[in-house]
Amino acid sequence: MGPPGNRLERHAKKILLLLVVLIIGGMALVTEKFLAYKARPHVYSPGIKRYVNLRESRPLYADVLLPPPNTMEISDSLVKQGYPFQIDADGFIMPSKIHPDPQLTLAFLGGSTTECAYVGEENRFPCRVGRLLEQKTGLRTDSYNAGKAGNTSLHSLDVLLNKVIPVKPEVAIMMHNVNDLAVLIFEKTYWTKNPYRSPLVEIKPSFKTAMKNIEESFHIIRDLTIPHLSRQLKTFYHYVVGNKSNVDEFKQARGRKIQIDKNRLVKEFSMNLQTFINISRARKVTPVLMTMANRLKDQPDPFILSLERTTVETGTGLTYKDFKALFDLFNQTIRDVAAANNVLVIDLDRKVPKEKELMYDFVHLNDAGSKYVSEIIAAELYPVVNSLKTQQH
Amino acid sequence: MDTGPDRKNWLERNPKKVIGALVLLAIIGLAVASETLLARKNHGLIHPAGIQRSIKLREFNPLYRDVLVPSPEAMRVSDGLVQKPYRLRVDRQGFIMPAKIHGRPDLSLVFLGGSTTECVYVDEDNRFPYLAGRLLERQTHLKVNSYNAGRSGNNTLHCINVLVNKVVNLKPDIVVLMENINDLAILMYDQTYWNDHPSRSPLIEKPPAFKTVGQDLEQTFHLIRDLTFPNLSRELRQWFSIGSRSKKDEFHGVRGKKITIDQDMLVREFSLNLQTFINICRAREITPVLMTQASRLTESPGPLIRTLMRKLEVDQGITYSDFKSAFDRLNQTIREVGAKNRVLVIDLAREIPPVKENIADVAHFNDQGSKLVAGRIAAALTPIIDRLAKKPLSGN
Repeated sequence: MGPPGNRLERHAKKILLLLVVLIIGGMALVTEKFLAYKARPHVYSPGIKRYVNLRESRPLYADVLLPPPNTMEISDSLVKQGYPFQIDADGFIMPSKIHPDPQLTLAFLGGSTTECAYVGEENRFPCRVGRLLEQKTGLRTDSYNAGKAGNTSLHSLDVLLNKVIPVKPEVAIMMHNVNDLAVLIFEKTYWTKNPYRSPLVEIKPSFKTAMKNIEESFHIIRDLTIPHLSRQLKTFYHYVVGNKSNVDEFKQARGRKIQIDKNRLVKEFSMNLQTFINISRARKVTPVLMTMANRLKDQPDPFILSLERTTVETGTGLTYKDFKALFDLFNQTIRDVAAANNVLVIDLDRKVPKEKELMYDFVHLNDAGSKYVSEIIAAELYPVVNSLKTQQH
Repeated sequence: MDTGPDRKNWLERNPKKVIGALVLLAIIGLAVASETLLARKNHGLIHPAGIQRSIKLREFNPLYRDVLVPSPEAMRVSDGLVQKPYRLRVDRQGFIMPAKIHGRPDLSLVFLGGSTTECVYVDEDNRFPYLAGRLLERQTHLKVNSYNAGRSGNNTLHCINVLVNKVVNLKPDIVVLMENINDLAILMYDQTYWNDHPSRSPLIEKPPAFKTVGQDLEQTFHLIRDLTFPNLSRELRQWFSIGSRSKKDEFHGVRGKKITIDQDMLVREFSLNLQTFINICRAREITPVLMTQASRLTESPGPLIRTLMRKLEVDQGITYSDFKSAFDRLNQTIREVGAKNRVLVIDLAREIPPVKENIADVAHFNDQGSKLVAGRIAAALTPIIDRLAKKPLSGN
């Protein structure tokens, strides 16, 4: 056996390949610099890609939701059990489209108080209202739940334009308050850059974005190959480490003294309510507004008072009285805009008792509350539906 | 050479690789078994992925910069276009520049529309959305910002999404909408604005599929390419596009199929969107203005127009007169919706001579045409501006 070759001889192919890669890379770099120089003073830039956030639960998503520990901590009448949560192919919470040829179609827009994630499927009021109206009127009724936790009225306008209008509803019902209040207090505008609430999403050309894309690709592969296992692992992880799913969406604004311009808040909210009414009318859809039911009494019960202190006052400096005043102001704005436009307002704020038997925190309905609210909504919509029926005849 | 009984086999020579492979197989096997067990336990009721969707914001990318030269294909389909470089710059808000000139304007205008508003092949300072602002400034002595939110291929639904998500936040005084041919195309071919068309659909879907992974990885590649070699990749793309025939046919899926134009449906759908535009503006205290679309679709079209429209007849069975009739009907719809709502209609279809000196092909303005249009717009808007409520100087 002869003496071993040197490193170059032992790895001749690898070194050759490396040299070729370096030469190509070098040539590309030189060409790039040359082209950039040649293009002066004009500079080519691909810019920043953007899209509009469609805030919805993902079409064809299905799961059984268990309220996480931090949700249970801030509620006093929520039952810890599994709540089936299924989304149809058009992104509506099921049950939704029941009839291939409905005679009446309703669509409900709003945030988590419309979504009713922690309410039994058949008791969620958007579904239940449809069933009640079907019984009362004899009309084949489809009733769509387009609620999504965190949605403000601007998000609902996007949902209305791009998802609800194509199902050609006769009536669109919108309920907003606390999410709009939060965004306008912290961000001063609906067109915020807050990554959780912004209507626009930017895909900046950066290596960070490239890494995010790769991470997303990994998530897709994971969800394609082992969806159940990955879900189970996530649940286990949250159980062991603690659920950090409740990200503080307004983290950067916390701790700063909040300046509240009530007139501005009312103006911004009113404009969105007006836009909802106007879009609906342009599309020959009957708009209906709803005030938001709540447990904000003049003399709050201790749980609600304590909840306000820990979840609102700590981060904003807003006392219970201040917060209630703003919340009531928004409900009043809903009444005022509806009156100015001759639009039906279903006043859940006044009609729903402010008790834990119906709501498990400030504003979220439990099963009993959702059923209670369904009766009210169905009763109030009945004359509207009847008059539509008459018009159609 | 070691050929004796002491020679080790492959397994013995590579023990680490073998153990690694075995461990990997065991993990995969365990994962598959767990997945199957859990799927059975959940009775197939759980689909944790779902389809991710978003709404297209059809605009030029903010901070986009380029110099565009009409391709040979673009020159082939026009006879009033000058083949030279046209600069295109886009500001941080996604408007074609020049846009925000004044920090505290007295008046803000926004123009929405498709490529006939975009005016890519018009010199920067002659694009009518910008030029109309300059002319108004001279006439009214107000500080005017004038924004071009046109984007090739946009129809009225796209414009409404741009209005709600991008324009309204600027708090403009006036928004001007000009649409026709893009709406005509999408309604003819897809019968609805809410379609699955890959480039004209309002929604983007990302289903959980390997195809989506491929697309994401492709996007990642493009990102890295644009970060590291933006000019080189642009140059290579231009070489390839010269080699390939033409820009992609967005409606290739319907070519060869006979299309019947249902004018009632076109008018109904188009009117609803025009009304939606007007109503949104009014809810936001913005003055809406409509414009009919100018064109060279005349009773006696020139040879170029005849040739261009002949393709439609051959591919889809749509005669020139059918198409012109539908186009005119949509312009008439604009007038009617404007009148019904007491909204100003700037009737470019009647005011701009349909000649190649103004319009480079069927509907796209060249420099001269764009300047003429800017003059008409400025003249039409001046009385409205005089009637607008005076805004405090803090303005936008």
